[in-house]
Amino acid sequence: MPDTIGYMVMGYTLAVIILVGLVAFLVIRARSLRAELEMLKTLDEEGELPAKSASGVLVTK
Amino acid sequence: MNTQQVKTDQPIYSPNRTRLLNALTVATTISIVLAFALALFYAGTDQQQGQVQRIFYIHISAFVGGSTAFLITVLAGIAYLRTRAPKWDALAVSSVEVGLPLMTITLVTGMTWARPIWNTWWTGDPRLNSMAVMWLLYAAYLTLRGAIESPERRMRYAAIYGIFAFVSVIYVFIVIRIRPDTLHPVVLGPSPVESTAKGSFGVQDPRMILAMSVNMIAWMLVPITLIWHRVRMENVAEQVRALKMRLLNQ
Repeated sequence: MPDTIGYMVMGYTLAVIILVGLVAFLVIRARSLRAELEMLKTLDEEGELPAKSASGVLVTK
Repeated sequence: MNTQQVKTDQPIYSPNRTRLLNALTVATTISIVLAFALALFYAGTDQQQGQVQRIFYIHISAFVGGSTAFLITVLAGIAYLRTRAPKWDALAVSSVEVGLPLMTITLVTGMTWARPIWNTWWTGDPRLNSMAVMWLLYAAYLTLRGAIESPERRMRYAAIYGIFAFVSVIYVFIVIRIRPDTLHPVVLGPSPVESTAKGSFGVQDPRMILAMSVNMIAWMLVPITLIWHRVRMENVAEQVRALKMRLLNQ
């Protein structure tokens, strides 16, 4: 039987890295969006006009 | 305080649906851990290939998971073209964003298996080339979306593109069953042609069948769960965009 365990470990490690990376991306992006939504809701409820940058992006005070 | 309330203040999802998604997430996590355990510690070791043969449990299953995601893109694309409802577009793009990493897993695990068995990381084989083309087609789907400014045109073109791109998935699946000049083995099911496949093995042992079956189920649950989460994320992103527009127009 050939000794190919190194390649097996490499394959599984790469698969886990990609899968965990995908999940991490989804979790981080969802948290960031929820935080942004909460901030915008607060601004909306307070009736405050946020400052705008030159590019038109909302900037918090 | 603004009198005009945006719909972001209202609960969007019923608690039952959220509970179902949470249960599905737990089931997917358990099944993927179980699938890895069965593939690594329970299934027998192939006498000719050694431990590297275990890669096939995730190599094939990740392809099945990616194909499931791309099939959802097709169904969502058809639904969008029929109804023009943006929710179908959100489902389509979410499916591609989840399916592409799964196909990347198929590609990298295949290359890792090929190195000791074929003595090369990559070769100009019909299966490998068609797989690479398919991967590029779906990567281009995401690029295409970013290039079209008009939301309506973007959703329409993406729906049509997503439907036709699935032809590449079907071709990748059948190419090793119709081309006799491929190195890639047909692991599941018989091959109708005499091929030059190198590295073939059978999945007849009950332990291998169990490991493969559990992996298939687990890797099909992965895209379904992640797409569901991704669609919810898209809905939040849409609320953020709507609120930003409102605040900017005040």
